[in-house]
Amino acid sequence: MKYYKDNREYIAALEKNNDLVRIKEEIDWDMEAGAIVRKVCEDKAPSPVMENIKDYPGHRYFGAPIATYPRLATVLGLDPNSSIPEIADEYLKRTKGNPPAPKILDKSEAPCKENIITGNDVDLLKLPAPMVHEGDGGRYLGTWHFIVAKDPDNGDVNWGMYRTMVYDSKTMVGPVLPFSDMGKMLHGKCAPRGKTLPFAMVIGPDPISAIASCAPSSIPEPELAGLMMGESVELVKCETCDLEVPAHAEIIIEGEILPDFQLDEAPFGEYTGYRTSPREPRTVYRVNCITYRNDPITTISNMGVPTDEGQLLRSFSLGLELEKLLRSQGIPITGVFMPPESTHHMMVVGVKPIYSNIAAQIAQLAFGSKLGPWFHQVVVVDDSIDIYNYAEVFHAFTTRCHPKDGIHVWDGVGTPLNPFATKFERTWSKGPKVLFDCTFPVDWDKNDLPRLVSFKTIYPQDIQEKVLARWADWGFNRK
Amino acid sequence: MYNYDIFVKELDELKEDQEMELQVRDLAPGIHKYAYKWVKAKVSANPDTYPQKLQIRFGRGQAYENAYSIQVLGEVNKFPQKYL
Repeated sequence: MKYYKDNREYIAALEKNNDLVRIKEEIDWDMEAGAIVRKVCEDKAPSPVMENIKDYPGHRYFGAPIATYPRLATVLGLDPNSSIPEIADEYLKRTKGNPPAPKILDKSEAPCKENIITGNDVDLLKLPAPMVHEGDGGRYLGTWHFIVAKDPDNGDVNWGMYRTMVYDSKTMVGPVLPFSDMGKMLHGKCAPRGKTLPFAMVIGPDPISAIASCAPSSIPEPELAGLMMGESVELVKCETCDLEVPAHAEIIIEGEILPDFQLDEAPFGEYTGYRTSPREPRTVYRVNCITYRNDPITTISNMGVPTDEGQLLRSFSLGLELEKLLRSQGIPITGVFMPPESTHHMMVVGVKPIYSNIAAQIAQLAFGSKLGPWFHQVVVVDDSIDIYNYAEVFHAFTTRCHPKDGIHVWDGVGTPLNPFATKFERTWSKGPKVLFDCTFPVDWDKNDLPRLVSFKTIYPQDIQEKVLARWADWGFNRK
Repeated sequence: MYNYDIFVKELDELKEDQEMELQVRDLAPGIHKYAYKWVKAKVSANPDTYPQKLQIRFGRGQAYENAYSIQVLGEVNKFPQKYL
């Protein structure tokens, strides 16, 4: 099974695909690098590798590492021109089976241990944390990274992408939402006991480990990474705590999360495409060790209007995990797609509507699941609609969703990052949910059902074939 | 050119010409730019009252158009001793 052991191998693959631009002139970490990555995301341009960062000789940036479907296809060993369903099939294939346990390497075999800084020598400001957007609350080291933590009671390991802002030379700060995996450890277990939570932040993980860390799978992330790689992910023990980190990552930051002391964090340009969540006291990370590879490469994701890797990958993996959930319940779905442009807020489901209120059943399962807080719109279409075809879905939405009977609203759990949410809803993680049922009711007489008028549905097969056979000869482009 | 900036919800939070404890960001060029520190300081809406310039930002990062001035009187430690 094809995979890249580190970002250096992955960068070489992108370069081979003509999907990478190397910038050799000096780039300022103060907004200029962020502006480059933002423009790359908005133009769907090749990933930039910036090799000369102002104030930080020897450091490099790798921007927008998985911000497009062709890059995601490359990570999964596919042709970059693969279709979304082909990429989804490969993802599903790679996430089935028995996950291999991680392999622990000796420190001497782990590139991330090439440089080790501890004690008073630790200084986060010696790492090139970019000022990603003008007006951000600070420099963010954690934009495309993950944080490793271990449940203090059962030892379960979590890898999760929790954004982190550099506060000072030994301190980072960022939100840890109470319903997240690490939030349950911190707020549910450590804080009541007054205990710190050891953490390790992984900057520049290999692309599969990065995908695993933001996949809402029930498989623990280190095992999921190994499953997707086809062999054990290689980890190495941390210097100062009982955690393991990917041995081939670029930079590791070790320390403790404080249970009883917060500092102000944000604002920050967020995955919704807005700066929404206010500046508030948030979780503090105290740093006591930094290890890194020679000539380290800091990954930058620049969240903003679509499409960046957070939007693309979260949409992709959330959609597929919801598909697994619905199939596990025996719902006759044709598929689930979350358009990344919805910033993983809209779930489009295709279903064979064989009984009444099947759309409501789908929405209730999805909103009631662990994944529910991350989206608030479910659009259910019947099995005649291609869920990946925006025009078909939009047409179904505008023509089949009854404005009174087809729209159902519930209360649910939400995130403070929702731009539409009231201040009260943000504070208390409340999130209204809506279903747009775009299926025709099954109790309608079949003869009363509106008939779709399209080339493929309204003409006999022989007429279609006759027209298509001469289409190009008449001067039309063949599709 | 600003020396420091500060995030506030409203301008009223800044009591002019009174010694206050404030969380400011250092804007001096170099690797320490944007690092936070707690300071004792006096501020003024008049940009010339005190020796250094202070930029005001609001909750979503919007910069206030008028410069304040600031005099930093010293740093303050807010970190719990047990974590230092």
